[in-house]
Amino acid sequence: MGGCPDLSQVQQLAKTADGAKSSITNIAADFKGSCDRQNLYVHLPPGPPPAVPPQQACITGDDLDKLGENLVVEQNILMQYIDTLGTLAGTDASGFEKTAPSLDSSFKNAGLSTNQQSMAKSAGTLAAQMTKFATAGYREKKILEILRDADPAVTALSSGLADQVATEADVTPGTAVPMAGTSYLQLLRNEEVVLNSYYQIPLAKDPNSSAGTLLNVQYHSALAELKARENAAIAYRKFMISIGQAHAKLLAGAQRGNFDKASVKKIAQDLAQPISDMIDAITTLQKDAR
Amino acid sequence: MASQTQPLTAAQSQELAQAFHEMAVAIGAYRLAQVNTLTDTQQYQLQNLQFQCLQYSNSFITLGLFAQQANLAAVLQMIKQKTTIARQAISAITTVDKVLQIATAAAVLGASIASMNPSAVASGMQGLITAVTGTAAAPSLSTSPQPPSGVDG
Repeated sequence: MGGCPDLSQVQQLAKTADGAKSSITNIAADFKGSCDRQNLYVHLPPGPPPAVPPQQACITGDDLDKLGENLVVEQNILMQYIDTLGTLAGTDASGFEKTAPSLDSSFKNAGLSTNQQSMAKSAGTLAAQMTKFATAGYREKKILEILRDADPAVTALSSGLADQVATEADVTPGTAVPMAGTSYLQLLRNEEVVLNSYYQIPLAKDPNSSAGTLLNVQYHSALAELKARENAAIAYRKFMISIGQAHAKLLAGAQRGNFDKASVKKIAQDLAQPISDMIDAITTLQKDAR
Repeated sequence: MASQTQPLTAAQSQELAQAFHEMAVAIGAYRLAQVNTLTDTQQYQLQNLQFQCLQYSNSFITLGLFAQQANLAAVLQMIKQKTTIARQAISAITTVDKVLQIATAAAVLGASIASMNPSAVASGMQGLITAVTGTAAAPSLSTSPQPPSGVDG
């Protein structure tokens, strides 16, 4: 083992992740939301109620609600880990350092001679410096150990969270990406099927009437809201993948021994864009939902 | 011979969800293409079939998500464990800090006692209490001499 992590960079990762934390719970809440909306788009034939009741497009709302709640819990475990790592990087014996300037007057008040005061102060300052070095070394060692041991789990969790919201195959269809599983984005794609049939069929029957014009406006508004949700899901995926990558880069930098400043800047740049995209996407989503 | 049911994997659930999604899309396309030939009742029947396909697709998506979350259980445990280690390290550092502050305050008090200066002793006591409790002491440690009881000023 060797090398040490850049503590300020660990703190930066924690700060950046914290900024996005509040935005990401909106997606988890919409797992059930998509299911509920799918059941709203139903046409009944004219006349008396049909003998066969209308089929529901989604019957797993309660399970999806639970899955959304679980996602928040899983997400919080990752965020808490990063947050704690950031706190550890920023924790030192600063309390002692703060009291050091008042030592002078304390020793003076205690009735020590000038010479004794000076010696006592020097001893105190030396103790503070030694403690500072000792705790910094302890922090660096601990953070490196934690980064190294947790890295495979952080990568697995960040991509696991990303996949639950949007898989790589969902985001880049048509490519030879292996199927990772199912996702919230796939629920939204089912919602799109219901939405299209609900609006397109009556519009095709009666495109030019005033009712048709109104329906067309509603259709485009519903499509725009759906698109905003899809964008938010894709942005969430990118953000989670970036968190995993940033963690791996921190570890790689720490293991190299001397932290490469250029790669530090690159981590900040890499994270800034997905976070900004996700916050924008979710802000649009919330605006549309009003 | 009894056969045991195997739960679907996340990838299998995804394949089934996708297959039913595509079937629903195909029914939707047919309903739209035949909009002028299908009766309302036929449209309704097809809508029900389309929704049935979507219902299966949504149910497989749900099953797949449960499987994915179950797969993450070990990973979550590992990250929780590392978070606890980081918290313990924070606690160790803050303890060192606290001990230093208390030790310094005790040293100042010791020096003040050696000086035999009552005012310095009181201030040293105050400093030690502050270091231990993290707050200023109650103003009971007055530096001015108290008048003997029963003596009027």
